[in-house]
Amino acid sequence: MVSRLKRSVYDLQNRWLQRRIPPSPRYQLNLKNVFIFPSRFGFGYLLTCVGLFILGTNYQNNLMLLLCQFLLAIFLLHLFVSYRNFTAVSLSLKDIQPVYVSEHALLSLQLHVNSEDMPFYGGLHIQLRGTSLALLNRRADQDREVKLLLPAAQRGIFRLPRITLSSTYPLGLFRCWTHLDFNKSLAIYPKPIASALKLTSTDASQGDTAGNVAGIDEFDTLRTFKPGDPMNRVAWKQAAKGGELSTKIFNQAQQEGGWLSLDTYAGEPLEKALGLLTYQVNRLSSQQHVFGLSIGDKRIEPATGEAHKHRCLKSLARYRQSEQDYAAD
Amino acid sequence: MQPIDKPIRNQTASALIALVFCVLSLSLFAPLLFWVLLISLCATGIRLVMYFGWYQPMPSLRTINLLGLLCCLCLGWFSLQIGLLLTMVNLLILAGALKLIILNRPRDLFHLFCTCLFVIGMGFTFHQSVVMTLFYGLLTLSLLVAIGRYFSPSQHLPWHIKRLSVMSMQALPIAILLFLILPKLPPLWKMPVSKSTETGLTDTVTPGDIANLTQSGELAFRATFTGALPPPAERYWRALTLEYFDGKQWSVSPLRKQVRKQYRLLNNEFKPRVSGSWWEYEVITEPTNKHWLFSIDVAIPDDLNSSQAIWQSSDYSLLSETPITSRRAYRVRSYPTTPMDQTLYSIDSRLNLQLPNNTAVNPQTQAWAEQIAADNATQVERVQAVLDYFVDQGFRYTLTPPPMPDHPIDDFLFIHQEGFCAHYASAMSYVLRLLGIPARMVAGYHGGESLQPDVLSVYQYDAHAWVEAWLDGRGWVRFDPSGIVAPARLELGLQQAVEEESFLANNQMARLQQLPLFAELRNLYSLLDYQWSRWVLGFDAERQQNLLALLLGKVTTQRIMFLMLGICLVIGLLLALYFIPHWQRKRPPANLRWFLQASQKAEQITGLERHNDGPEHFAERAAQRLSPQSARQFKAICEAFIALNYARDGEVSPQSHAFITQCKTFIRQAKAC
Amino acid sequence: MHTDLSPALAYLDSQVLGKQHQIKLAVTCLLADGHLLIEDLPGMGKTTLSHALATVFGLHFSRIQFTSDLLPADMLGVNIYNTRQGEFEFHQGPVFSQVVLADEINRASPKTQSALLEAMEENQVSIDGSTHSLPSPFFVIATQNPSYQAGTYPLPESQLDRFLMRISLGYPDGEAEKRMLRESAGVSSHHQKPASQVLSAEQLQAIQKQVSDIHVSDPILDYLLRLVNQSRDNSEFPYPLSPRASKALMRAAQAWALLHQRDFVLPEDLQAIFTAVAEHRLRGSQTDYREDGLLSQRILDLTDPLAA
Repeated sequence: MVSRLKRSVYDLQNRWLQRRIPPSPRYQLNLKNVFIFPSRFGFGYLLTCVGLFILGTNYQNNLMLLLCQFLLAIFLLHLFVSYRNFTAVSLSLKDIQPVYVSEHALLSLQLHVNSEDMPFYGGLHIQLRGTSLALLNRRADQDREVKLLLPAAQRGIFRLPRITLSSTYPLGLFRCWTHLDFNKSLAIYPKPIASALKLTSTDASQGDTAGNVAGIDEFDTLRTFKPGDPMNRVAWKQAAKGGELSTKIFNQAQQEGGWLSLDTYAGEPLEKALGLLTYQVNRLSSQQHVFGLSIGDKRIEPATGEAHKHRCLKSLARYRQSEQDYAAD
Repeated sequence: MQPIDKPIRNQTASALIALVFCVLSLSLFAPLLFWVLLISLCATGIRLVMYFGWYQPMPSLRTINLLGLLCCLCLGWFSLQIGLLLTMVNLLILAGALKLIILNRPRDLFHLFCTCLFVIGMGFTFHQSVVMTLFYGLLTLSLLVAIGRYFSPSQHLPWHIKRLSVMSMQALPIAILLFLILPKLPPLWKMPVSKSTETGLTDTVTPGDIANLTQSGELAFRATFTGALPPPAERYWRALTLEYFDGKQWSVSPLRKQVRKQYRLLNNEFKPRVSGSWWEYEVITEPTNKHWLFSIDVAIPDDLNSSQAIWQSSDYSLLSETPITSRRAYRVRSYPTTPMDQTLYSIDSRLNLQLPNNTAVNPQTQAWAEQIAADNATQVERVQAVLDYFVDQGFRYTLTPPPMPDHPIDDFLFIHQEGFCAHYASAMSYVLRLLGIPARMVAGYHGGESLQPDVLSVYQYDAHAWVEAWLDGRGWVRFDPSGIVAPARLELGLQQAVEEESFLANNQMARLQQLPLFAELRNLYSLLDYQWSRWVLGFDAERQQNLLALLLGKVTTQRIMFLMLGICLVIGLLLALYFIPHWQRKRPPANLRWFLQASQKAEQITGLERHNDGPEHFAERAAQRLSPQSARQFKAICEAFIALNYARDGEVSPQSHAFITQCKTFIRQAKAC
Repeated sequence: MHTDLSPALAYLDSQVLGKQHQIKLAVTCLLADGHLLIEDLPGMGKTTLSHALATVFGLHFSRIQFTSDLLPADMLGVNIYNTRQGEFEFHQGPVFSQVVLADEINRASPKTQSALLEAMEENQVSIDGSTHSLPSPFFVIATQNPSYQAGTYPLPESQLDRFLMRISLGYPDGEAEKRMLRESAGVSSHHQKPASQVLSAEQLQAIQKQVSDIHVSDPILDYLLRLVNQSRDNSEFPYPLSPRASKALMRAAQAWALLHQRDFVLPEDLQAIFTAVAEHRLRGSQTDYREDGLLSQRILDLTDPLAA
């Protein structure tokens, strides 16, 4: 009951935040997106002031009263100082590099100081809203960035929840905070499981004629040199030994490539199968091999390169997963 | 997650707060119990050792709890002796010290910070001088620095000191405004007061006491007169009347206390009818923790506020409603020519004819009194006979009389014949009582140094005792036998009267006073201290009212409201002053400013947006939509701007008048096509 | 004051139709003594442009077709043992020309690529311990085919920096293409306008020297730094601009101003060359920049030249 109530309050808050602080890749902190309120310590401080006031009044001691009022004035100034300090920065989030399950994704928030006359000081507390992931970097003003490691427990593409940032500079009496939505998502790929390459030939529909495919430019054979052969193909070692000039013949790269398919591992549990495919995608990409991926009813045409690799891995991560908010556990 | 910073024990903040705490407890040396002080020093030591990393393990919480329990028990035991206030201070320091030892989490740091602030506040009950205020101010600043250092550890300490000093400087005007304007409330409830032995008069006087007081150079009170100062001989500052004599010492009569209590219950305050000329003055008294106040006879409170705080007793002394625990100011008016015959003779005579129960003490005196009574008939003659005796017998005035333990009055009158004011007053009062004349001893101060033309400073060494006797038809009349013996005492003050003796003998400082430079400095300091007590410590509800009246003319609720609003406004302005410069951007050079204005005008007229176009592009774009003349003008402006801003020999003058005029003309005349 | 370059531009315009801006950029690049990378699909007139550039400035031109088996030696030249004289003789490769068109540079192996880039950087070639200076002026026009990436070696971002500019010719507009078709239909190919040399290599070198005399005022430098800092402060940009990039920007802007016969730089000059100079440095090896607009344009949008 209580948890449901909490949940609905949280959702209500989220909707309100969505209107008040709409998602953006970069935020300039200002009146609109910064909240400020005395911290617990601030309330304790006020209580001390009240104590001093009572004491000063009862003893009719002006110095105590003056001390109390001085502390109150500091409190008041603190409000402005901390607000000014917090709004001196604009923030952006570095792209979160995709990770594999059981690794940690790095959330790196960049601080940009708007002008050198108005620097930012003090630490920053960063928390992933709605999770227990939090970190206080008390030297954020020096590092100009705050980092948070996110454990990757489950594969999938996750929306990143809002990031709560707070600062208590200079004396911790007030807490300035904001909830920012950088509109980023976190890709967690399945954990790679080492295995032999299993590529099916050109088309998955032709059945599972799995076979190894030799890498690109692998040396195949020698043949006698014919004029017109490129110089770099001449087997100079053989020539130096006094033999005839001969030309090295290489296996032509199989540009058409093969297919990786989930069906190959139909017998394995799903997560393991995805892990095996992840490994193979990585392996083939590192060999600059051309390959395609067929998973469920989704087919990615053969290609090569980093972008292709990530497209394949993303579809592996997303397989039978709906997009959801990242949760710490 | 991953630890990102050093633990608190290795942070400068912890060492700083430990040092502040240590200095703070040392400053409270007098009110603190020795072992409490010791514990706080140990705690500081432990903290520093941890900070430097010589020894890392933290004492376990269990140990500290046990230690705390033990300390509380001890303190409970001691609290019976030292009173509630001191117990409170000791407890605070103790709690702080224990917290300091187990300082581990940020929360502990905050607790300690608040405790230290509170202790500083408590410190003001014990020390109120300018120097100590500055000292405590510095301690407060150091506390702020310590906590600031915790929150931004990547900055250096000098940076923090600078930052927080600036912040404190900014806070001070606001604090002073609040101080001036926030209403001064009366005490909410009675607070425990310190039992510590203060120098000053006490409500029982054995002749030796006042002699001890004269060894003290501490300030007793200051009086600021609105008109001329009273002549030195008239400066008898009455504090209390001692009407009960037990043969050795004088004290406030229990009967008088009872009468006073009854009067208070009936709210029957003694209101003497006053007449003749008067002196008007304000007294700022040092804390005495007693009720009595100082005034010249016959005194009545001068204003409403003072009269609310003062109870006039029927022995012509003024009593404060609350004990004087801190410097207190009050205004009184003294009418020196008013006869003191307005009290009930029945009570006064009953009180002041009282004789010690033990008639075996001072037998010689009793015999002598009988003889005087036989020789003289009238009251006046009898009094004169006693005074004459002092003169005839060549009595000496001295600060160091021999001890007179058994029959003090006999020994004084007939054997040693030397003594101090209290001896004279005591002997004379006793003899007069024996002669059937109601007489009492009055304790107070006599004299006062003139600090400024209208200010008298009265020190403890000005303590004095004299005699009041009821003469029929005249009421209470003041007699000062020591004044007869040593007239210089009245005219020039104690210092001259006992010059041959070592005045303030124990006081090393007194020797320094002989140096002219030191005297100058001391004078300067007392002047400062005077203004301090007058304007800061003595700023009470009364002064606040005066200030408000001065500001508002007439104090009405509405005007007070306006004033409050005004103050809020002033504080707002102060804040604006502090913060707006930071928000302001640097002003661009004049040429650029005017060019931007001109192009803004062009944007308005044409409905185009400049985006991030440079001057040349924008001129081309805008020219198509401007009237031919305006287009020409605008193009000319752009060309001029380019020449000024970008060309090889441009940028020599960031402010070209011709160009600005051009821009202004365009802004005035621009038209679309 | 300066040599008038408009006849040269006019000739180039007549050779590559409807591409005034790109032609200007290419000439700017040449004036600024930088090298040019053209990224385009085949048949867009890359070769024509290079050829015309060489012709108009009276420069010696050669073309190297990059393939995966092209060796550095194939391009730079080889020492060949001359049996008659009994010593090694250096045979210059095609790179020893004043204008070198390196066609489809991303087809060659990284080793070959870096040999060319090294030659570009040092203006000389070292083979077997002896160095051979390249001719002056030395202008490399490299081309890349962006669409087909299989089996290619994209230039690493550290080396992209060696090219002062990257431009893309793109399709000509309808009018220009029509004119082109009419010309090639109506008039037979050998009836083309005769190759006309407008300037000499010496003149070109003199102009290149003038470029550094173009005045760059403080507001312009501030603007340039603001542009560069925008890329550094903002994590939207994966590869911030290096100091070398700022130098390139300034030099290109100077050359552009000179091309427009001004002796000082305007913000418009910087804006005109910014995309060509900065985009490939901002992108790194990610070449598919049509996805989310130009990064350099974003920086231009974020930065006002007239801000104080």
